Amino acid sequence: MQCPENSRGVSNRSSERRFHLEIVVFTVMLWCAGLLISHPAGANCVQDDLERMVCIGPSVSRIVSFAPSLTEIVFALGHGDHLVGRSNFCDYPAEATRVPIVGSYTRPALERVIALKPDLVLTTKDAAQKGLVVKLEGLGIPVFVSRTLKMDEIFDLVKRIGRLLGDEDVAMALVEDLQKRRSAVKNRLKGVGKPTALLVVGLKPLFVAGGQSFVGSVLREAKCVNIAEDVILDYPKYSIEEVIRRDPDIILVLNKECSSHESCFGPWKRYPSLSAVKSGRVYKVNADSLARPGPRIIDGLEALADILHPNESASHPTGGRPVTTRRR
Amino acid sequence: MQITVLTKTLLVSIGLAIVMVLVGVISICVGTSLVDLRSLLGLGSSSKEAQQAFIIITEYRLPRTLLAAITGGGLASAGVVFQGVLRNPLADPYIVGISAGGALGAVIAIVFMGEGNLVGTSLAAFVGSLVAVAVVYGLASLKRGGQFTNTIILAGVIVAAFMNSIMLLIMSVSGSDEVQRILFWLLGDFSLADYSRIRLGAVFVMIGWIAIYLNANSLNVLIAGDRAATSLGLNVVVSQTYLMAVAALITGAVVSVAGTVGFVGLVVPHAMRLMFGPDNRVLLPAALFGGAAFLAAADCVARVVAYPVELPVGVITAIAGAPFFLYLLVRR
Repeated sequence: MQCPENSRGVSNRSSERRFHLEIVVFTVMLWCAGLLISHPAGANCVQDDLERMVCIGPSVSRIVSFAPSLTEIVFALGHGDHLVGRSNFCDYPAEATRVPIVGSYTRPALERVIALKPDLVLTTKDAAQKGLVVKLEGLGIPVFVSRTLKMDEIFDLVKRIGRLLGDEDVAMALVEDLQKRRSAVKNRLKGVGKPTALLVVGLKPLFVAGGQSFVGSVLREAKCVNIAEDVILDYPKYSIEEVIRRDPDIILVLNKECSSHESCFGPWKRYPSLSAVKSGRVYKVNADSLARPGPRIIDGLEALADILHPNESASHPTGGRPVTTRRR
Repeated sequence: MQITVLTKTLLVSIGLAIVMVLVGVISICVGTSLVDLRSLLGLGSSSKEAQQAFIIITEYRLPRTLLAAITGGGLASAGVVFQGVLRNPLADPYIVGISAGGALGAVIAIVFMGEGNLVGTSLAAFVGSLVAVAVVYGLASLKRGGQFTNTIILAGVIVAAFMNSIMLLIMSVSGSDEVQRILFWLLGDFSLADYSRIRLGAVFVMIGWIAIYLNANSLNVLIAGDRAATSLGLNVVVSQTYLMAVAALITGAVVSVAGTVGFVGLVVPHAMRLMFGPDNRVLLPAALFGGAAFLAAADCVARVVAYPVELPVGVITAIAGAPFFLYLLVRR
């Protein structure tokens, strides 16, 4: 009794398979047709960091940004007046603070975003949960998701957002300017000795920037050896023992952790064997320009290069823009 | 031959104290190479490695281990009291809302005062836990009667839930980027141990523990039930209030210096009871030393298992403590 049923099963399965294939082909065709319909001529399309194609119409006028770095890019590209919504952390440039807030960095309120009727939402992968992105897409709102893991990727990010906003020329000019300043730093640091350094993102308890983190890539660019380079996590809670053993020449503390030089330096005095304590090389650095993957990263890089290589900073050709210390 | 309670107490105390000291010594030495130790012992040498090892031990591992031991001893002793007074095996030092109150206070301090202001965080946590205890005890006192212990437990659970949601509300509305700092506080962290915290914790735990131990007999009687205790001449209301107030003060103090370390206050008292019997005169010293040894060991694991990355100690207490406790439970 079983054999015939089995053979019938097989033939059924193969015809099913053919049927599945037809469905797949049909779906692909529909999808292609859909792409053609929904992307009329003149639309700007770019790939975001989740490898999705994001397309918007030629005249973008209502942008919502969930992340400070993306807000800064929008302003740097001259589209600040098109920004209609931002996160509570988007505080630069000063004009940005006049834009209504749609929620906190990690918790944008969907309702408020929809009410603003944006024709583009910009977010980082960390800032928006996947569900939120899917919902916005379902409502026909294009969402560009960025994920910047290394300093190099900022230039491409600026270019892509420029293309999306229909201002590729402005973006190219901005990137060129940033690249120029970057190579100026690179040139003056050519052949310098690399001091060892530790970048502290949390003082009590101790959280540091690892080699995989975005800030870690800026440290490499500024020619120093991050003593936490080999840690797998981005910003791990780090053992003070290992800091004492690896004994960094320089300790950098993000300014969100301490307001005065004294409060940045004070906690380290407990460990007098540290070279950075002996030589007084504990510095406060600007969190906003170092940790935000936006156009100000070159400010951060220049400031970092001045701290790490004070002897090379005198011959600095562009003079280096002063980094204003601002609290996040 | 029957050994007296005093002899048993002494034997258990000395035994567990030796275990505690051993754990402490091992914890302080783990991660130090033999070379470090040798150069440390030859104190005259001023090599860089010796100086580094010396600072690592005196400024980091020793205070950390001491604080873990004090916290463990305090929480386990308080756990014995709460389990006894409330006659409930699920009771722990946090049952009267101390952890929720302390956490709420700490989160308020971390979110609104920022910059890792530790004194403020400790103080806010202490105030928060006292407020929680006062509310729970006040509510339960309104309806004093046969159901007193049940009212305490229920009021504690509800007040804790309420304060937890206020804490979550603050965390979600403020959009604070201090989530990691808050997480480590909630799971307990000894990496910030310094000698002033140790002094504070030690004073509260030692005085509190002695105050409880002197009343170990009342605790024994309370476990027999209100009616039996009254007929034996004990003022139940006064004893319950006194014991819980002291245990709550101990808990509030250790929570304020170390965060809300979980599991120690629940499991160590049970483990000690399973090993040494239910007499509180033996149990209280056993919990003090056993809790100290257990938390010092857990902290050592949290410090070295993913070195140089550190884990929150609360993760280790539960992972290591749960299987051990289940083993004890099944063995009996």
